Formats: sequence, structure tokens, C-alpha cells
Amino acid sequence: MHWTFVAMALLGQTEPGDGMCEAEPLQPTRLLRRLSLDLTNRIPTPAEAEAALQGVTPGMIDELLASEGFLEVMRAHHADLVWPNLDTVELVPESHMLYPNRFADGTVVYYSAVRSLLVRQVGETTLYSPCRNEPASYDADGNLVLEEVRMGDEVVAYTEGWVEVEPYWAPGTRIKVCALDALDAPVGRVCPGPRERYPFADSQCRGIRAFERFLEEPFEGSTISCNSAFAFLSPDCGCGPNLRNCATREVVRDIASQMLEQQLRIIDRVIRDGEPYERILTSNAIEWNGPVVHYLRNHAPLVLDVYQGEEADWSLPNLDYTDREWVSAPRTGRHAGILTSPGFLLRFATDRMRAHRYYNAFECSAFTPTGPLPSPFEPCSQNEDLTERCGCDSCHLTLEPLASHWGRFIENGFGELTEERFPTTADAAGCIPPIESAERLYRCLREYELQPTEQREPYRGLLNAYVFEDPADYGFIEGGPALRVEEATASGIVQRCLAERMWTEFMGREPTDAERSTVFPELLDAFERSGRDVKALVRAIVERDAYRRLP
Amino acid sequence: MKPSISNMLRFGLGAVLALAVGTACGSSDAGNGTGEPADMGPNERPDGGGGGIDGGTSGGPDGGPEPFATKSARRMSVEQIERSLDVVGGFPPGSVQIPESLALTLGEPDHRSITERSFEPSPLFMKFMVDLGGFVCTEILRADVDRPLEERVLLLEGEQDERLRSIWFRFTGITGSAADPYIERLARVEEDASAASSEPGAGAMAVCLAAITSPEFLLY
Repeated sequence: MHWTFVAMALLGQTEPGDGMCEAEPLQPTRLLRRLSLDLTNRIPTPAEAEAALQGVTPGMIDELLASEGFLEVMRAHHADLVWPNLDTVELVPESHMLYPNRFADGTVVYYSAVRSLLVRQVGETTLYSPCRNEPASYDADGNLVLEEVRMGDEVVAYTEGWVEVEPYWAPGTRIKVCALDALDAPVGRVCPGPRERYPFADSQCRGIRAFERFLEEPFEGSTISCNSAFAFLSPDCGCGPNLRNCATREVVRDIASQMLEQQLRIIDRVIRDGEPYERILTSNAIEWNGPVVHYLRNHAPLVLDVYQGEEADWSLPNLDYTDREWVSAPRTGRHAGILTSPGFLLRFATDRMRAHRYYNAFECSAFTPTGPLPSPFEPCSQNEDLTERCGCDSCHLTLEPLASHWGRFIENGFGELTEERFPTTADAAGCIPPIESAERLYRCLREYELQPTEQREPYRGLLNAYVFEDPADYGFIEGGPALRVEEATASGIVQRCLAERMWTEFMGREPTDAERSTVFPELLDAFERSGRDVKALVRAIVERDAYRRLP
Repeated sequence: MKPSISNMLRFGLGAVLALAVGTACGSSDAGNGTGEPADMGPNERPDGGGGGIDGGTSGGPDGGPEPFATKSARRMSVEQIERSLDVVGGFPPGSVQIPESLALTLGEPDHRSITERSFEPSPLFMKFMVDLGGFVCTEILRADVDRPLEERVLLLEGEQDERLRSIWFRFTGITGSAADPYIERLARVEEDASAASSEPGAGAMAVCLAAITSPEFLLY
């Protein structure tokens, strides 16, 4: 079959400007079809089409704009702007991922492959050994019985049996989990040694030992919470009660999708309630459900780079993982709609990425390099301040101040760097040795300029957001992304960008210069008069004659 | 009822081409690919209406002329195809679901490596629509057998012209004299398919395929 011919015959013929007729008005039923597809993603039912035989009334358009279908259209439009996808983000550390191991008799036992290395392996051979297919046994003192695994004469691992646990993701059911992975102690000793028993963990512990002189107390052998970032280095710490700190692939997928749903629900709310459009980008209101709350409480603290910040900053409601209902709980601090939602901050890991996406999506602006980069050996190319580095300066003069609006949000994670926990200077933050814990030391090294190069020396001890920052722009850091959105709204940038995007969405093409100068003032006037309700802007577009004629 | 898909596809494609070819502007016996009769003047409407919001204004909201380009024709998105086929087939919302991996191939973004939505009417898209049409039309015919007459989509009773107009209106929203050239061709499709196959519903299947794969259904 000549598909190319078929496709051309079907579709190529209707390309605008390809011999088409002069624009004619659409039949009312065809107009309703166009409106229904554009505003609700579906064609009208026969009954709806019959009702339009005599004409499309304003009430019909109102109904379409008030429908769930319109929210779906707006949600898809905005998804194309903020690119919701967390496939490449490690939400749960590999040490806390549970995988099913199916034995020959069909028994499925969940185990952590990384903990096999950390707590079972004793030889030098990498051995992802699960536990044995039998119930775990305990000695007279209540200690878990481990049995040697030998390769020839050499002991390469110690393995245990399984225990049955009721997982948080499926209450009322029980699954078999390797006993060492199912441990539920609240605290544990980190890097307890000896090296011969935990050779794999020891190599990790040695890396931290190098920084021990900066700590108040020795890291090795100290007691830590099993709900913290270094828990993987404690053989005492397993998955916690009901496996709360661990996850399967399915659970991680569920959490990721709910985190993205949380972001899109901000858009739903603003559009459904007719709130001013910019509230999508400035509102503190957010909704939570069980999977997202569970993640913030039980998984995020395990990943150093995700770091959830203080739980109080998020005002998390008390929900179990299986609570699917969304509960409203406004955030405190400098949160700004979707721009500081966990999904957005994780999707765009750095301040520059966040600023860039916002700039493209909501200000309809792009960074265009002025030319090729000069030789890297030129002195100007050595400048660490990108606003002064040759070839980079044209974009970064705009990007750096814009990115500073996200300066008080952690990179690679989604916590706010509040003034209380992260003051502007390292000494005020308690980042001058000795430091209280290894985790705090990590945060100090990540967030403050503690080991500056020569060019960065003037910024020694400052929070990273202030490095190379013009003091006149410090307000951007303090104001957060919402400040930028408010300024862009006050100058009409956000509204013009939205009008441009809505026009392109519903007209299927970009506006002409003539339309920008004559039609857009009318559209923007209707939008402003409605209190910046998106539905009013869309209505103004689909009521244009240009929308109602044949291509 | 088990209509032979290959036979149906053959007649369906014949019908597709019959509906598509010869739609040049000004032709007196064919539409122009978007469902409007080509022999109407620029300011004429089948219902004789004029300006105002109730269908085909003659100017901007203020009633004055609007000397600008019109909306561009676009093919339906994957989401629109899914939801619209639910409506066409009289199925509950969410019944037609295109697998995610296929949706990606058909232009939906994954927001990871592909961030732009594509509406390209590619040969792959058309092949997909013919295959999907075969599946959906079969399901509609199956469902029609158990439906009361007034809820049926394809297995209608009555004169051929009346039946075909009802089906065409359901799929495309085109009615009245604007539908005439299409009905004439659909009639030929139905007759040819019925004559070539002894299977019951063969004519209805071919009409359904022709409608689903027509530009009047897929473009708007």
C-alpha cells in the first residue's frame, strides 16, 4: 500500500494556501465541532450537534469553557510548557529499592540489591546475594541467625531468611522480605565495622572519614536516625516499620506521577476558579495526597541531594500512602505556584534551568547567543563570572539575575533554603568547624562558598546564591520567583505571552504582526477586564471572525 | 458478527480516496476537505445566517470586517482521537485508549526527550488511523447488535440516503446540502462493499472506515 499517497491525498490537500477557497464561514455544526475539539478535546455528541443546527450560542461556549474537558486542554497546554517528567530523577536511593526475587518454587521474596553488598557480602567479589528461601530464624538472645555462603573455601557472604511484613503501599496484605532489609530500628550505628565484615560499606565510610576533622564527633560508630541520608551505612537500619523507607519500582512510578499531578492541580484550580492567571506562578496554595506526603516524610530525607527542607515549611497534612484524596495545605515561605512545586524543582535541577524554562514558557523570551565562543585560552574566557565571560555574557547578563530568584531553593532537590537554617553567611549558619553532623557538613559544603578560588575569594563564606551577585539584585534572591512574576505581570509581559500562546493554540498558527498590533489590544483588554481569567481570553479568541471561517 | 478486517480495509481505503480526491476549490461536486461545500460564496451560509455569535460571523466581535488570516487546519491530537472515538462509537468516556508508546510515535511529547507536540499528518499517522479505524468500527458494529435502534451508530434502518446522512453527521457534523457530495460517494462505498462480501454489516463497516479516515473527521 502506498501510504505516502494516501496520506497526501487525505491531508496534504488541505494545507492552507494550497489552492484553498477564500475563507468562508463554517456551518454552525462544524463551528461547534471545532469549538468542542479545541475546548474539550472531543467532537460534540449527536445531541449537542443537533442543538447547534440553528447556530452556536454564547451559552454553548460558556458550557465548553466550564467543562472538565477545558481543564484537560489547559492542563495539556501547560504540561507542554513545564515538561512534567521525573524519569531521570533518583527519587529513592538504590539502597532502599526493593526488588522481587522469584525462587524456583515460585516463592517471591523482596530484597535490596545494594544492601546485599552493604550487609551480606564479605569477600571482594561483588555479590548481589538475596536471602535464603526460608523463614528467618533467631538465636536464644533474639539475634538474627546468619549462615555462611561459600565459594570454594572462601566465605563470600552471610545470608538470612525472610520475614513477612505488611507494606505501607498495600495495607492488609503481607509480603516476604529479606530479614536484614526489613529491619525496623529507628536509629542505628553508622560504619560500625569491622572492615572484614562490611568491606563494601567500609570503602564508603573511608570517604567520609577524610572529613572527620571538621566534625564535632567522630562519624564512624555514631548513632544516626534511620530516616536520614547516611542510613545506608548502618547495618542496623533497614526499611523501617511497614517498610516505610523503602519502595518498589511501582511505588516510585506512582510517587513520581502523583508529584507531577500535584503540579498540574495548581493549574486546574486557577483556571477552574477563574483566579488571576499569574496565580499559577505565585500562589502558596498547594494540595497533597498520601503518596506525595509519604515521599516527603520517608524517602526524601534519605537522599542527600533531594533534601526536603523542614517539614514545617510544607505544612504537610497527616495522610497515609494509600490516601488518594487531595488535601489543600498552603505552603509557608517564598513559594511560587508551580515554579517551586517539588515536581518543577526536581525536573529542572539548577536555578539556571528553572529560570530558563520560566523565561521561555511564561515570558515567551529566549536566550540567543550573539556568536561563537572565543578561544578558551583567552583571558576573558577564564572569568568565572559568566556575566563577564566572553561569549557567555550576552545571555548570562539576563540569566544570572533571573536565576537568582530561585537562589533560596536547593539545587537537585526541592527544599527552600530558609534564612533560619541557611543564613546568608556560613558562620551564622554554623558551618565553621567543628560542625554538628556529617549531614550538616555536606549541606555547608553544598550551599556555601567555603573553599573559594581566587576570583571567588571576595565571596568567601557566602550562600552560593550571592556569589558574583550584584548587591543591587539581592532583592531577587529574597523575593523568590513570585517577585519576578509579579513584576512581569505589572509590565504586561506575562499577559502578552499568554495571549500569544493561546492564539497559537486555538488558531493553529502564530499571530501575524498586523494581528499583534490590532487584535491583541482587544484580546488583552477583555482579559484584564475579567480579572485575568484565562477563560475570558480564550472566549475572546474563539469569538473572532478569523476563528470561525474555513482555513 | 465478525466482519473481515482485510476486506473492510480494502473498501474503506477505496472510500477514503473516493472522498478525498477531487476536492479542489470551486469544484461543484465535492467539499474542500474541511466539510464545507465548495460552491458557496465567501459570505453565504447553508442556513442563510449572517453575522453574530451564532455561527459564522462576518467580522470581528464588533461586527466589522476582519481582514486577517483564518484558523489553520490541524489534524486531531491523539487525545482528541481517543475522546472523539468514544463519542462516535457511543462508548463510555475513556474506552478508546492508545498505548503510550504509540502515542509518542504519533506526535505526543514525553516531556523528557520530546517536548514539542507534533501534528504532522504523516504516512505513519494515516496507516495508524486505518488500523485503528478497523478496530473501532468492528467494536461499534459489535455493540450496535445489542443496542436499541435509537442508540445505534452504524446498523441503522431506513432509506440509504437518510442512514448515511445520519452517520456522516455523527462523524463530521456536516449536514444539509453540504453533505450531498459525500453521501453520494458513501453510497457507492456501501454498495460496493456489500456486493463484494457476504458478511452482514460489510457495507456499514466500509462506511465507518471511510468516515474515520476522512479529512473531514481528522482535520478541523
